[in-house]
Amino acid sequence: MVEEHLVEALKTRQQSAFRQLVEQYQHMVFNTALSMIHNHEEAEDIAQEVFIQVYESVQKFKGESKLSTWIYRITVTKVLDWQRHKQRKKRFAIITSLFGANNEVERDVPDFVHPGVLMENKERSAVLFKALNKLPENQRVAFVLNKVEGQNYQDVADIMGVSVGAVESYMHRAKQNLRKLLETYYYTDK
Amino acid sequence: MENKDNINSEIDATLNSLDRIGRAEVSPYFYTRLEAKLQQRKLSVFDNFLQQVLNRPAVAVSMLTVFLVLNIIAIRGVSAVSNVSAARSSSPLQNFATEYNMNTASMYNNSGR
Repeated sequence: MVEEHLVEALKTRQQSAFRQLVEQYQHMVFNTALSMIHNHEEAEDIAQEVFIQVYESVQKFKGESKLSTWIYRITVTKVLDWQRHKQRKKRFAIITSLFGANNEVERDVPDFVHPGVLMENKERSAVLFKALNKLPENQRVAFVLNKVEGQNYQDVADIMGVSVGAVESYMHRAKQNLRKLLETYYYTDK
Repeated sequence: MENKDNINSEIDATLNSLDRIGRAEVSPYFYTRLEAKLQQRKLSVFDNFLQQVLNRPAVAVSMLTVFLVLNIIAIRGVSAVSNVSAARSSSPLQNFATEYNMNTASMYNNSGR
């Protein structure tokens, strides 16, 4: 089904159109979420939330961008909201644990291995994903969209709502920061 | 020096470790789970809406008023009907005649001639 027809069918709440939309974009949404969250169950929960949001707000979609761009944007927003929420929860747990409350501080996820990585790169990619988590939000989003999802700079710019120049800058700084983090890891940690 | 070169090449290899990465795929039951969640969400949205609306004092008072007014109208309607039937039942012979069509002068009048 052509994109415009699919959107029109979604707006009239056709179940078959929603199913087609999910089948078409489920891996894209899940892969983006997983690459940023590093947990299969939570990434799937977020992917579900993304499609529920798409279903509920498709009436607002004006077709000014590609449908995939719009879905990517929702995915990134959901992931960042989830991460901020988790961060707040973690800080709160640390504070309450200081006052003797019985809140267990959540531990960081152990080394994450992306299922799509080539066998010979599994170990290195785990190190890279760990370093990726320490980058600022914008750099992390740009890096994942470009390197994991294979989106070009123009598409990344559309998804993030910034200029191509800004994406170039995020990518440049992301690579610089990752290099520094990896240097520290290989010189000291290893 | 050699160690530094090794580390630099290790860093480059790590930075390039996502080359040719494939997409992670959701489980085959993703759509079924999504549908169930959506259904659950629809129900809870309706419940929440009802709860929120009914919890407002203005809505509760006006709904109670409407309920009372409807009751009063219904009671008045029922008593009016019973008054009419009481009035009718005051002449039982008339009722009997009407019921058995005995008001006509002759049985030939019914033949339409």
